[in-house]
Amino acid sequence: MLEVIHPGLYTSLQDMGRYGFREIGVPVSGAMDQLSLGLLNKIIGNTPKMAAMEMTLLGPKLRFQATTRIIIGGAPIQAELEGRPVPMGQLTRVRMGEELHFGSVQQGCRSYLLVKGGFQVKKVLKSSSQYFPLTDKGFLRKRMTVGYKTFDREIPMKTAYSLSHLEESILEVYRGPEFELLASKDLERLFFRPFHLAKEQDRMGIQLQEPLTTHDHSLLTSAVLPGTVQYTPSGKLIVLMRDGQTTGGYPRVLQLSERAISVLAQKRVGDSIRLKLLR
Amino acid sequence: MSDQLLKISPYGERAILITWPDTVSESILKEIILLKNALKQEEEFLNAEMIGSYNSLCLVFSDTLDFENMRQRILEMHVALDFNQPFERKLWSLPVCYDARFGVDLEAVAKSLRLSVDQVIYKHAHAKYTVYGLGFLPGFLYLGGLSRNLWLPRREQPRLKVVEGSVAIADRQTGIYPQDSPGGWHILGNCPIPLFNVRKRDPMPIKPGDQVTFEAVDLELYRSIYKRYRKGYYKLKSELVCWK
Repeated sequence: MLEVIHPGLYTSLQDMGRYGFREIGVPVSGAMDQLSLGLLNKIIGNTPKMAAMEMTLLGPKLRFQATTRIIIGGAPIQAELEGRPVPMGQLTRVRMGEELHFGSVQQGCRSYLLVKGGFQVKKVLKSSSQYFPLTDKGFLRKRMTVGYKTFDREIPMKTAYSLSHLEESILEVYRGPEFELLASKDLERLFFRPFHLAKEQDRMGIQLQEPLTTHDHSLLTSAVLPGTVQYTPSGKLIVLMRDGQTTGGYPRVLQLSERAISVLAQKRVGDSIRLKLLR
Repeated sequence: MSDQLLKISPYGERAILITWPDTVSESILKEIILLKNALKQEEEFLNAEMIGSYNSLCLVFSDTLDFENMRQRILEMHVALDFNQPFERKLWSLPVCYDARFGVDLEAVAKSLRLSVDQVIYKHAHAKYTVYGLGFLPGFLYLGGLSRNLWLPRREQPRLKVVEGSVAIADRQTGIYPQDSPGGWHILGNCPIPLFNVRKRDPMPIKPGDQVTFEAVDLELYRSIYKRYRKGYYKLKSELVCWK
């Protein structure tokens, strides 16, 4: 078992997503940066259904009650195990009773902590991902405990830890279903000048600071996906993320590539990005 | 409906969006559900999530896909559909209490629509609604079929908290908030039975295509239904009806 001494900022348990329930309005959820979690799962030998801990900007302080192997990755984050720094992307042994203290994310936005075998979380609709109000809580809380299995063997490192998307700032996008609604001067704005992340952002969506021209198109409620760029009547662009709702009525002008969703998940308020149209 | 009216387009790397003409109609909804049911029988679509609503059906796959191939398969399946085939859907009767303590917007709605509060309640409770889709929140029903006399744009200032079970209207729709949530719809009443329950094997028994009627109950009956529900004695009323 793992004890939460301090929960950090927006720390939550996430797997690779809750699939199969979008038809009844349940968001997919899952790790914001799936490229990072996917690679870390591979290195430690966990499956996509196993829960990892997602840390945002400021990590938690944790006490481990059983020996296990862990790996930390994604955005580089300060981490000390009983005062010794823990390197990113390396399998590390944690012994019973030891404390792991995270500090700030140094570059990027989201880091991941995995234990061998995954955190033992009661699944809700076949997934361990925390999403309130489907699960009791949306984030880790102080004094909460999280289960995991004791594991004390060497794990051979078969896959190298290398994540090139962390430094990227170009988001590859496809035309969305309502791409044609974009005015020509907005097209120029979209693809030839940078955008900055607004402060309105969470696991549901990320707003961009620079607006396009206003419009009055609305559509019959229709499916939206993580990575869908919604174009609101006031001209604002909102990129839906993993906890985003399953349907919407704003024009869906662009769709991020799967990779671009993970790239964007690592950006902070004020960071600059550029959009690149594919095909 | 002819295939020229069906638009099939890629939606990112892993999804396909099928769109029908931009109107709300039961015949389009039926066509969407028939196509969805047919696709679900096909091996290529077994693992796809299908999100249907109003005039669209979105197929989401777990990996990248061969769009042209899938498009052909969808068109073939669509051509083979028998639109006249009668099929069954459920008609649900949901209790709603329109007491002023729940229907916090009744007065304002009546005023904007130049109706009395009783007229608003009567018109809302005497209609048969159709489930055009679910979204916005887990288990939130988009119900079409609202009386033309109750059409009203959503509130200018959304509320930060709309309580669970709130029955509300906006534009041409009515809906029920399955959880406490922020919301911009006008609240007319409250349904004592939680419709969405993650602990059940089927967390949301009401499906797209189903119909819903509201049964007005007073505060006393509302409380008694709620008590019976808590003790496990209350079962939602539904009957199978034929969709011609």
